Amino acid sequence: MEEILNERDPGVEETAGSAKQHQNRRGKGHLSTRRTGGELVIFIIVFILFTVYAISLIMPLLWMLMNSFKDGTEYAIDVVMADTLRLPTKWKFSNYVEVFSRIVYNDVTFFGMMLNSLYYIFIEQGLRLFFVAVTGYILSKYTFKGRNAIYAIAIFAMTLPIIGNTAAGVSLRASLGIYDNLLAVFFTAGSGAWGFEFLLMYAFFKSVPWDYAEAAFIDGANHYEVFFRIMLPMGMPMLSTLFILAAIGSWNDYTSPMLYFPSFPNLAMGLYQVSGELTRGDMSVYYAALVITTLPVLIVFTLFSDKIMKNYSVGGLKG
Amino acid sequence: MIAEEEHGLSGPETSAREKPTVPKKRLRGTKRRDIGRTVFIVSMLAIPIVSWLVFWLYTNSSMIIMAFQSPMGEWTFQNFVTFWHELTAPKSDIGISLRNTFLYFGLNNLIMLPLGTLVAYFIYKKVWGYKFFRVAIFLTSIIPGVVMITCFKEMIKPWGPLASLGVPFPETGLLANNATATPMVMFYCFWTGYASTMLLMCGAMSRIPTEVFEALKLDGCGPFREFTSFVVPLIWPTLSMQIIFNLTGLFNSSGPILLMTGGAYETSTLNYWIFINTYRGTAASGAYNTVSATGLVFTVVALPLILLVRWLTEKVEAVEY
Repeated sequence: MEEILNERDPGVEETAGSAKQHQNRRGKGHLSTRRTGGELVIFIIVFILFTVYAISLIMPLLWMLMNSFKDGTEYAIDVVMADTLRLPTKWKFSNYVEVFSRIVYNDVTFFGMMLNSLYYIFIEQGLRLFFVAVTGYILSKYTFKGRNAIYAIAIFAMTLPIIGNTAAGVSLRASLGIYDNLLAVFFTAGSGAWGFEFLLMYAFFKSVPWDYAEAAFIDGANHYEVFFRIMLPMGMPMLSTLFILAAIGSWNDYTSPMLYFPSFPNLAMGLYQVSGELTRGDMSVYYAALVITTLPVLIVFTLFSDKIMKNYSVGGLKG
Repeated sequence: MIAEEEHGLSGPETSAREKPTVPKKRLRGTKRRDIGRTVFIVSMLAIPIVSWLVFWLYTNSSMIIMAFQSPMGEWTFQNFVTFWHELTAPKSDIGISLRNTFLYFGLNNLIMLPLGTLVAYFIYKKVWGYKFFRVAIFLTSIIPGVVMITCFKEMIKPWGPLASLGVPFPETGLLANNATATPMVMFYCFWTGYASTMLLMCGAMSRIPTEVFEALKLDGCGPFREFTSFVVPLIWPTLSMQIIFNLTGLFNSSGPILLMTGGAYETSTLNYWIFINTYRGTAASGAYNTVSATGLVFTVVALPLILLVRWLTEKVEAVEY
């Protein structure tokens, strides 16, 4: 698992020894530069295709960014004239301020949606990942009656392709009085502690020597202190990566709030809901809202791109 | 855990074995530690286990029960009858949803998975600008769907930027038409859906020894042969796992239907149908019972299918290296 988590940059071997390094240099050279004949032609074609594809992915985002600075009336005219590629005659930065007053869904302002998004990330996902760490740690480090059964059930449940349990989930929350109630996350977070992330933390803690705990026990520490002061900090790099991925997922998720917290829209849900009520004149402000929504993800990605990309494929197996 | 047992901190069996030789004082310490250990395990696992029992086990059991109940709580097979009528009726929502679900599954596994693996191969082989391409492709998976889809929808509107560049579009747009809506949603998936496959396969390829590629180079092996005859077999365990994952999500893959069309113009998928009937339906109307019955049927269908594919993929021997 460590091997998977410390996944290398494609094509670059990280091994010790000069012979290996020499070999790696050769390997790297082979992979990047020494191309001849037919191979060169194929790579030129692929490069052109990739360039066109990358432009097609980026241009719409730049188009949105540009139109987010247009005056609403100007954008509406551009739409009528089918000329939305035109640069703004006057760059209207105030659209980014207007977002906070004009984007409203169910009396929840854009700022309120932002707070809800942060709540889902830090409370719901944070709590869930804490429980992931707890279950991974205890099941990997302690032997007790039922431990193997719990592990086997967790794996079995993970592989079941259950479809259509959302209605039962909504009914259950309604009968427990936690439907459309933000406090629900405190009750439900624990149930999310048994997924794929549990396996990762289980494998991680399994690889941590027990000697650290032993030393702490000799110094008089109890099991809680060992977990909170030694093991949990050791697992923080792994947990922080899982948190970043979970945070991005939660930030972009619109279906869960719609189903379980309809009165507490996050940004993704709120923006979807208001999109149906917009006139052409509102679109520039809406684009500004979309840009603001995208920015945190891009900032997180810029700061942690290596960590995110290496661990995004954490499910990769040897092969 | 092994270390724990070695250090005499594990279960009651170890403590019992040590009893005759351990001094009384130390025994008391061990006993206290055992109690502390039990309290720790119980207190820390209680919430995740109870939460799982309620929100996973009870929810899923409840789904099965609801499938056999009327909204009033009486036992009935009517939900399955309703489901069957819905499924077999011409142009029914469930029928269309099922058709689209299979279309997305085919797109994912027959087109996008091989293409994504090919993309990963060229990224791995460091095509010029591969770092930039990798980031550009990956961004599609982290930029909010509501942003990407809004951009896409604007691009293909009759007054959108592509139309400004002279690309002809029908007056109603491509998403407001039964014949073109689903293909356009599929095209969007095709356009943006390579991030995870690319990273997963790049990871798998990076574990292939570079000597393999060097030997192939010396033997004059071209990229096509290298990819099909060597890379694919060498990364087969990852590929097959991806196929199984895709299959596990066969009936759960919804596509961005809600954001694209809201399910109109025959674009619904099974997952979307379940979602929207839960979201807009009420328990009293019986919608929840029909949704549960539908979910149960497809869960029962999917389970043996997954086991079969898992068995088949394991039949293909993985290359050891």
